[in-house]
Amino acid sequence: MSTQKTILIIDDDIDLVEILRISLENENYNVIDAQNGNTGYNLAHRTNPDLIILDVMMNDIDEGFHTAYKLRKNPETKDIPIVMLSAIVQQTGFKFNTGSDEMYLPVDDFVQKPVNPTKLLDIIRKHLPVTI
Amino acid sequence: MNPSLDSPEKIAKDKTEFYSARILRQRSEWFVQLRWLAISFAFILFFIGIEWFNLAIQYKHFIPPLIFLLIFNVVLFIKNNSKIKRTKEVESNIIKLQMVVDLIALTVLMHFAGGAENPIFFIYFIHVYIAGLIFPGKEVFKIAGLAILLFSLEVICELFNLTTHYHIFSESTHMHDPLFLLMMLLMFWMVITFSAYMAFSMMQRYRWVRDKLYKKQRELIKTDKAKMDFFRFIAHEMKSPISTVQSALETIKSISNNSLDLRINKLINSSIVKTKQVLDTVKDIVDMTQGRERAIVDKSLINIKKLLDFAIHLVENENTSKSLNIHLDCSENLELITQPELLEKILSNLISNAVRYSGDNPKIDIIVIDENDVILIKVKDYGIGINQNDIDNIFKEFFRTSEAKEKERIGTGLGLSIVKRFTDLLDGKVSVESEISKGTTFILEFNKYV
Repeated sequence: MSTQKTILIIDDDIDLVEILRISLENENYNVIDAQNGNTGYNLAHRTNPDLIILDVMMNDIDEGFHTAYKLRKNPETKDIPIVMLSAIVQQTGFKFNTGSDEMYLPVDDFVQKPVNPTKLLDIIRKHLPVTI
Repeated sequence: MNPSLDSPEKIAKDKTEFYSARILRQRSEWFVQLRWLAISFAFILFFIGIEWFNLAIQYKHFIPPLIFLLIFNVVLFIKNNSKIKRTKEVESNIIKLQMVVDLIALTVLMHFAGGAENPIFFIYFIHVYIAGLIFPGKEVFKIAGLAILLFSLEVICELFNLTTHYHIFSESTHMHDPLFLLMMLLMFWMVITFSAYMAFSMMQRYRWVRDKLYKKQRELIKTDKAKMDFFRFIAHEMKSPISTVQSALETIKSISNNSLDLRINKLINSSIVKTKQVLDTVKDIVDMTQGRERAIVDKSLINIKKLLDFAIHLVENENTSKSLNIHLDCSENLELITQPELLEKILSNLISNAVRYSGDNPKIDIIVIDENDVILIKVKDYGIGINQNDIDNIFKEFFRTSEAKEKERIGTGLGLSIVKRFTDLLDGKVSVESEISKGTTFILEFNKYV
């Protein structure tokens, strides 16, 4: 019997959260959500989800990045995989600097908006191997 | 930089500096250069006149004023080349002083070289024209007045024997004929006043037209910016809801897993295509309107191979239905100072274009050539090609060739214009070589360390 995994979605677009919830619950994930970075961070800290889906642009243009850094700094949340939702242009600036990539990318994966549920599920499965 | 926008901006910038200390200093320097020429010319002329044509003028008379001018010019030259900043008023007064000194020196030289007998007095006119060009407003009439005063004084003093008359040729009587001299003076006054008036009114008209032009150009820049801001606002506002709609449609499609009525399924599929189409246009407009600000801010040293790998990866992700054969020839450590987001967009647009117009199994070669300070990136496809007549238009907004429309019905016609726009913003060049139904090569050229 597989244990149900919990996924935290941090995004201020309530409709998108609902859309993702439908796909994820359909795949038997437990979904919790937060509408901004701070609430999301606190929720992650409290509930320790198995994976976090994080939007880059919420109230601030790079709120998602700040939240990701905060999550990575906290020893209790630093190992939770983070999948970031973003427009392409937001990723490239972080990806091609000649410095160490890890410094710029505090997340495990990117999913482009508009979110294709099939691709998102593939990525989630990659980071959440099924445990029996 | 974008040529359609930069020229008015540049001119508008010049306008604000038109009567600045810097511009006046430049004129002053130009004046000094002109005076070197005039002094050398005078030396040569007097030398030729005396040595070859045996004119009655004497070295001892004209050498002191010329030496004085020479010293005056040396002082000005040194002052102009010093780093000391002078105010607009000081610069303007220095130019006026030069004018006055020049006119006096000219009168002295003329006096010793035959007075009104010597056609050297035509040089007064040159001063009046220059004053008209350099000074705004009625300054030119003051210079004309000074010229009239000095010339008349010279002629009248000689007429009444208050000063000696030096002959240029052997004794000529008409220089003592009051009627002749009066006629000459009248003509001089008339022509010089007329010249001053012409210079004044033409320059005034020119400045009026120019000011109008600047005003219009500033308005144009403002309107253009407002237009761009408006487009960007609209596009931004549209982007996020359309994205959400598309995600919703994709979710319905994937969850239903083809269990829906066939017609409904078809509707959903076509809705996905349509929203994608709108989203592409919206994204292109966002790119189009915001590249300018971005290019100026954060340039950094990037690895070209990594950037190209990413651009290829993006295009492959978008074209999972086709089997792409993209061959990249680029050395691992090639670096370039650029704005990565813009360059990424340029490259992914070019590669995705190559894919779109290449049939089902597109073969694309990407070759990066390192030529010392310049990097060439060639994106070569073996697709439908571009008609020679269309080549000049492909970078225009919303333009699509008829072959392209036939091949791919959907397209914004903005992809290549973004490529062109962004390449300009990055101070690069883009060119294209193409042969119909053989293929197309786009060539990007960037300086490595701009």
